[in-house]
Amino acid sequence: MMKVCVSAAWKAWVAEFGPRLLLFARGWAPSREDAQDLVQEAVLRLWNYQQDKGGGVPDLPLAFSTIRFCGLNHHRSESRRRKREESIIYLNDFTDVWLDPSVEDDEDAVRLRDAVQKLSPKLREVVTMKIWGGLTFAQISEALAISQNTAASRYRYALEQLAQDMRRLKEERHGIA
Amino acid sequence: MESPEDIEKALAALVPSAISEQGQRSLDDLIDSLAAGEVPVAELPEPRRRPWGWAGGIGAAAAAVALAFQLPGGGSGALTQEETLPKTPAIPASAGEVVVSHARSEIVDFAEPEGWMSESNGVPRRACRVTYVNQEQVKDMLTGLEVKVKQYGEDTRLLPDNAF
Repeated sequence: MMKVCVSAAWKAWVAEFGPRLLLFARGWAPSREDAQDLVQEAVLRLWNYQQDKGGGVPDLPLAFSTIRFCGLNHHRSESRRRKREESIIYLNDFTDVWLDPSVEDDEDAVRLRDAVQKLSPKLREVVTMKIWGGLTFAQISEALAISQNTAASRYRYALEQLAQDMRRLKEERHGIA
Repeated sequence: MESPEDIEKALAALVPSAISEQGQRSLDDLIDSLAAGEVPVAELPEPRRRPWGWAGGIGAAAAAVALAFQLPGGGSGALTQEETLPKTPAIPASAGEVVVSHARSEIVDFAEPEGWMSESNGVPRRACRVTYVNQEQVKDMLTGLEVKVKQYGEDTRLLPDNAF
């Protein structure tokens, strides 16, 4: 009975946070399927980790941190050159998981989504954790092992960069019109 | 949508897409298996110092090389080696142990900082990309033949932030 409760709690947790974790994992994986594998590996590790703490569902910052850890491990065996190539592929191939397809009819939303994809990985992971993960800067700093100030700075810088990109795109559109 | 505040609101309106049906099913199956205790516990990978696990393979390879030299009709190499055999064969270090490793070293060729990484438990570690050469010298105690084996590797190592 206890096992059933625990299992149900974890399934509910995955159902609630799975999309956010998948979005974050996508930054570490070359395809949607690989990102899902990464989430699955993270769930396995989190499960084992949580057993010492009563078996309950983990905190979200820990989940992000674990996905990042799994992602790093995944890449560890590959050469630096290959990593660079893959990171380029990621940026060109993010639409499969990045955001809800229902925004496709909103031109600004699509442009913003594209702009997010072009952020550097360091900025993008902070934005992902803050906006879609709902983490505080304290939690982000814990998950990424950076200071809170650094986390906040990266976030602000990312927003400014996105705002600048959107302004430039708007000006280009008006110029063309 | 021109200020960072506007951008923040617009971003919040975007929604990550859901895990695929198959992925969700797979996760549910995993959780069921874990709850039932069917999946073996997976430890966090030891992030650092690769132990001498590779030495076993090297030892086996060295043993194979040494054995090849001892085989009758083992080619010209075998003959050459026989000429260098010690007059009194060495005694194996222990029963059944013919090939003995007597020198191991690791030389780090190149190290480059990769910033901070964290373990899954959030413990920060300083990451360093290193290329290294693991070297082992093994000796066939029966023939006295010594083989030096080198293994080149590349790895990211996580160092405690308070270690210098």
